[in-house]
Amino acid sequence: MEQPNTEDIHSLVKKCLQGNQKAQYDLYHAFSKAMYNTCLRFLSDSRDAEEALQNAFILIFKNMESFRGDATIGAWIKKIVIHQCLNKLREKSLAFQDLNSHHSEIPYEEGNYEQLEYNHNMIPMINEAISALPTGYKTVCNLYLFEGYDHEEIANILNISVATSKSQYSRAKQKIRETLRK
Amino acid sequence: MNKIDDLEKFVQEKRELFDVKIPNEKIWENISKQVNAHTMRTVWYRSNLFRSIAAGFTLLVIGGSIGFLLANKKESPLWNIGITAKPFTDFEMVSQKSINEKLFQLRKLNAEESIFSDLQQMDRSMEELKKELDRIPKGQEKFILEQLKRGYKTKIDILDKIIHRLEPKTQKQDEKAI
Repeated sequence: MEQPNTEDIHSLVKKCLQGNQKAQYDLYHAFSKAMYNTCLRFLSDSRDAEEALQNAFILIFKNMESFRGDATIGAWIKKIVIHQCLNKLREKSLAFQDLNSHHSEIPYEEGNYEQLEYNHNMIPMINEAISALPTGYKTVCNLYLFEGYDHEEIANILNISVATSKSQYSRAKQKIRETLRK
Repeated sequence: MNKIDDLEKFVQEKRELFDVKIPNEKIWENISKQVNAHTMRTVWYRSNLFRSIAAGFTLLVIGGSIGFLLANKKESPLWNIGITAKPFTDFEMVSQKSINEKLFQLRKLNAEESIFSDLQQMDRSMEELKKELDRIPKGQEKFILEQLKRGYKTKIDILDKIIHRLEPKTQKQDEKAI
């Protein structure tokens, strides 16, 4: 489906608020692919990702009147989807054990690394490398690298220090590079 | 400001190409069912419950009015209903017990608050009708008692219908949770 423009999205939101099912379907289709891939990156399991996506969109449609328009609808949807992913990780007691270990705050310098020639063919390899990361590293890496959060925001979301967020992100990138070099 | 490295630069530039997987269409079906089942249930409640309540309410009001009109008529066939105050008190007690049990069941099924307020509205109508009993000539309360009896029956019928509608869904949710 072609990505709707801002005006279309605004009109879709309005119709969704009136309970228009066609508009709900169009809004879901405008964001579902990107949001499903976000879920997959966080959860690394297609069943968990599907469940998180489903629960997020049910919440979105049932609470659409609480969308005030001070952020874009895309940012609002993304926030709810990520929240669902983090809840899922917490439910499974998978999350952030590695972020609470005593060495997680030790500053980590990536140092000099061999420059890689990145190309399209490496995209599946990067996705796989991220999927193989420990949950804590992966969560910080996804939030920073793919979702555009800064380290302060990540520290707030995950209830960790900024130093931990920075350190874990650097370690995550180092591991991705190592995997790509193999 | 942090320096962007080669990996970050690549991800930023090709961000959309990382989203390669397509979600299963079943996800939308499930979302739509859940979101719109809520709407459909609300519509069902509002249309059917109000229709039933309106019917019950009309019955009561018309009953009350006719009762008044006929209050001074003797030997009317309408009086041959065979209800007296004593059996009505028994009937009311049994009905109210049954209603209380059904209301408890509805609470357990997480029925919407609007249902309870609609039912309270019906209670208020019946209370009004009960007050009529004090205004009509003694010995001529049979017709109003019959309308009250019908009111209780209507209320029990409405509660049964709502419980019937809610039960299968809750069972499915429980099965899913297991």
